[in-house]
Amino acid sequence: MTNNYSHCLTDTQLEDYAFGRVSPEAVADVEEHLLVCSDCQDRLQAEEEYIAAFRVAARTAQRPVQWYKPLAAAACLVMAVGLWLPFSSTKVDSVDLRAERGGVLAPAATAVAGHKLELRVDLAGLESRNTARLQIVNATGAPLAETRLDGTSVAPMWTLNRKLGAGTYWVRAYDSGGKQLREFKLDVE
Amino acid sequence: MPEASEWSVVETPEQPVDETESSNSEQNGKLGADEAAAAGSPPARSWTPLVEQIRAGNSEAMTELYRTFSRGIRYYLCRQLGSQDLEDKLHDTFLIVVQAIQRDELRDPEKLMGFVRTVVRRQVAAYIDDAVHTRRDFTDLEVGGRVPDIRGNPEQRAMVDEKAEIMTKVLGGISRRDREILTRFYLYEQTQEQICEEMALTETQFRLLKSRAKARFGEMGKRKLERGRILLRKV
Ligand SMILES: [Zn+2]
Repeated sequence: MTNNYSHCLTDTQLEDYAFGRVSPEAVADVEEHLLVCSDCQDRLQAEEEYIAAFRVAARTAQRPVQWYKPLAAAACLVMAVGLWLPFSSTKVDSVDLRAERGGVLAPAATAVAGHKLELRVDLAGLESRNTARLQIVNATGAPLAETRLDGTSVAPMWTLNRKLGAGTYWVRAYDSGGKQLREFKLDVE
Repeated sequence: MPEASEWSVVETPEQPVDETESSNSEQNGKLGADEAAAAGSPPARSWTPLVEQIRAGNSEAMTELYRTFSRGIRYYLCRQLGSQDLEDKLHDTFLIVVQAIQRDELRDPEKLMGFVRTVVRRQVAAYIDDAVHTRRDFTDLEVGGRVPDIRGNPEQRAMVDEKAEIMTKVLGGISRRDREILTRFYLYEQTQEQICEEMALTETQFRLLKSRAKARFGEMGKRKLERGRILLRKV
């Protein structure tokens, strides 16, 4: 230890802090210790890098493999012709809108134009858990859709009823008082 | 990606700094025994002499204050705002702390740590506020305007990619079920309780899986680093 404080944070406390799960009553203690303890700063940084690495690896593993694409396209074509249904109209893409931590930039959220989207919104890390509303706006700031939340989930899912065309969008989370808590960028291509 | 972390709970910068925001295990009585023992333990040193010297304008005391808090402040600012203009932000924050102490805004010198934390959090809120407003002003003028990237840099991204490569190997070496458990925890941020319940796991099994994966990640990272060093020596 490189300071005068006898107790460092436990692994669980550091993990909870990285995930934004430390209670409002305890967060001041944790942050005050982090202000003066370089050991705990290093440990927190390692924890956050580990989480960031896990997320990149897990997302990469979740992406469909390339050889599968022609087969999927052929299957879609057969179904569309056979059933007279545009297969893409029922496709739902899951998109993670993540809040960055540890100063580490993760890949921007992207989605395919014209697909139905299911947005998983990262609200972890907010001390205030009274997030009440999500809104999606286009590049000019014009609201396109809105949904209400139960206010407890750290990663609520929002299935958009409308499909988005190519462009840049912003998803905003607001608290019950109308104050903006977070903003996520979504590129639709 | 712009993001206003903890937006709603940070007070506006105009308000006077109140060191009573500093929580104290003895006062709030809300921490568990384990947490109370570990987090925010009462300082072994007294801050009063340092604060009094700063009030008196002693430059050595200011150096001492800087030495004690600069890394922590830098770390907090970087974590919340990214590395852009970090040294300027650190300097501004430090200046605000010193000036506030000299204006006697820190009523109880023993609460110096809470006082510094409050100032830092307000600074972070102010910088995020600025960044968001800059973007809004910009989009009013030009369709498709983008927020300046306030988080991360190419080096950090490269570092994460490198670690993700190691993680891919770690994940490739464990069962599908274990991968799902870890994914639920690290990617979807489900709680340990929820995962244990849904995946029929004991707390010990869960902790063991997590620590084994972490240990494996550490070993593989170390090996990779050593291989890199050997290659460097050969060049
Ligand atoms: Zn420590």
